[in-house]
Amino acid sequence: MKTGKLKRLTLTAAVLSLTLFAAACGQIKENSDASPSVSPAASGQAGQTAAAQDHKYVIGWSTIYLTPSWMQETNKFLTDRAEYWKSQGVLDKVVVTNANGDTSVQISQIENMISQKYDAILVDAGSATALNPVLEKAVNAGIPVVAFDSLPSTDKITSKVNPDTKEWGSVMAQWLADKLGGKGKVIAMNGPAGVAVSEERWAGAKEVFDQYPDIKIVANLHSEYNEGPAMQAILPALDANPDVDGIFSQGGSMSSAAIKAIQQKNMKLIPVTGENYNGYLKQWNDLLPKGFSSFAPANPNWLSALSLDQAIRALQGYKVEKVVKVKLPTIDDNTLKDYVPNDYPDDYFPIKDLTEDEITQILGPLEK
Amino acid sequence: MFRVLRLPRHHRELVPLYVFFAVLLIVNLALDPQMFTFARISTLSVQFMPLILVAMAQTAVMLTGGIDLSVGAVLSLMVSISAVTMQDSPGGIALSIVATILCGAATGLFTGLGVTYGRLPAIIVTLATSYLWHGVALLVLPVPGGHVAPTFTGWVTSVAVVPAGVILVVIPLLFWKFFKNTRPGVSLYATGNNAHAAYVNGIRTNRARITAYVLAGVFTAVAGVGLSGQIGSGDPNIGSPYTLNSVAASILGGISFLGGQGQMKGTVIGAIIVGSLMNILFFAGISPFYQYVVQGLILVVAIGLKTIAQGRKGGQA
Repeated sequence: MKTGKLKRLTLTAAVLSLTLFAAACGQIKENSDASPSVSPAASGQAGQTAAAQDHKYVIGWSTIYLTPSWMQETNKFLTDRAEYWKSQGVLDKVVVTNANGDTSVQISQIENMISQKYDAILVDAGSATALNPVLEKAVNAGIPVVAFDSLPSTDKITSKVNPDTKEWGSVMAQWLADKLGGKGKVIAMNGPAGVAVSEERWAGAKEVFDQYPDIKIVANLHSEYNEGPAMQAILPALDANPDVDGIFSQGGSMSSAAIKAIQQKNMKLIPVTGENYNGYLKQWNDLLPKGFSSFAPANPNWLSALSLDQAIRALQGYKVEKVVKVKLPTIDDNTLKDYVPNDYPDDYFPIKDLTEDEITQILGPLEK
Repeated sequence: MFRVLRLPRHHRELVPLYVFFAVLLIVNLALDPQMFTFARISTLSVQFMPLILVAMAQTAVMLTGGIDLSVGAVLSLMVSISAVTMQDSPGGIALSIVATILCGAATGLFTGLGVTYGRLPAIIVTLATSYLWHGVALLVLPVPGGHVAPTFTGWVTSVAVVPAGVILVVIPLLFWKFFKNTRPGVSLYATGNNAHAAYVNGIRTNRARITAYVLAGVFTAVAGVGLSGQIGSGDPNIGSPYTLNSVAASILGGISFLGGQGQMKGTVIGAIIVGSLMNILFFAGISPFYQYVVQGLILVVAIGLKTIAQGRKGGQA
């Protein structure tokens, strides 16, 4: 009797497993058509523009998140740019992996890219330090690594293409300090504690605020880069400090929460720093006639496209700068009209497209 | 033909899991033909090691009928402590490992006391301590960084016939094999099976529960030490996803939510399955948007199969 049961179970397990196996085999077949990547000749570091035509590159993008709208727009810029390089006969495909917030998974995914001998790897890191060993391993295996957005701390990778994170904080803090005439009470809204980007932006802001002894940071809040949690953080802080003069926020959804909270409490429209988050830009635009003033940097989504170009430059043997400092695009009360009104949803980050000229300008001229 | 499968009972229970695992291995091998090279095995063992150990921690607690929602936060704390205390000398490395393991045991003792003498449900106590330990991790290491001795990182990530990832798993596993047949080990299973009956029969159920949490803390500490070696640093946020993955691995490995049922080797296989699914989906070239859907479905089916099997067995008994 027991053996019978066991037999049935084993059979069910086997059937399930075989289905999975068949499904996976289907995938392999489909894949092998379009992936010459596995050939060991893949790691073409030396200058070989001609050879690039024989071997089309397979480039991986390992990102810690893919679902937030900023990431999806970034992904769109990447795939659009990839289409261009495909049409030039340079690129075979870009493979995107999403670690969904799990740094250990991101390490595995990069390991897999190395073992599959991808030609180059782009990375948006889930941890400032945890990916260093695996990224260095890739570089040692002859695979160029280009990082953007959330950067790894190692300086052994091929290139980092990013605006200066500290500058983000300092530019906004400077605007706010000027706006307040160098004195007043400020509430700071930062990202989650222990997240490198948030800490760096705040470090940049702190340096500026420290130069103004009459500016008092009356509350330093930490929340997710999301409107809900930011709202929960700001409401009690406003209750405790009804006489606050300005709000330093380092994310658009937080700024949106701040301005909503201020209106809810019928407070004066004090200056708030923002980001090119559409929901915020729309409110800013509506409140502009009532005297509301803001200033918003944009973390450009086209960093992905720029990084793809940088990786291809490295593969084709061109010189690449180890650190490419991208100028931070900013929006102020006057340039706001170039971005809103628009037809995009609130959860969107309007940004101007990148032209070929700008790419050359940022990455530098092509030099062997 | 199944006559040949006259395996001991503790293996027979796990046959469906073995079959599933074997097929996954074959699929993985077909997609990644280099899987059985030393280099790949070393890499994979280090990749799977933290989840295996954290799942073992979860299992130790689940066997008593409890659950530990703080393992992820404890892992973050352990990684941070390891990266903050480690010095480059061999003595410094050893000292840091010992310190981390003692801290792990202390977190377990704290939780265990809360669950037993505080008479609070495990799910609530460990939810609360998960915030506590994450907060402490941020105090210990406010931003990712710290220092892990290069020799230690080198050992953890090096290619070897017996890789560090295997050693770090096998030692706690051997300890468990020995422990489960000792008096405290038997008490642990008995408490999970039927706490009242166990108590009436003279088993100190509170002590058994506390032991389970302390063991969980120690296993998680070993995972933290290994993970800090893998990433060459500390990161106070790295552990969070491990909490639910450890529950998934345990359930997949045949550990009952009700306690008292299941074996550690099942959990180890369950954790490897959870880890290798991700690799298989990558190698199969499935779009990242579908990867988590596929992964979830496979887990649901696998766990469903097992539950059906157990249900039948239960009905018969």
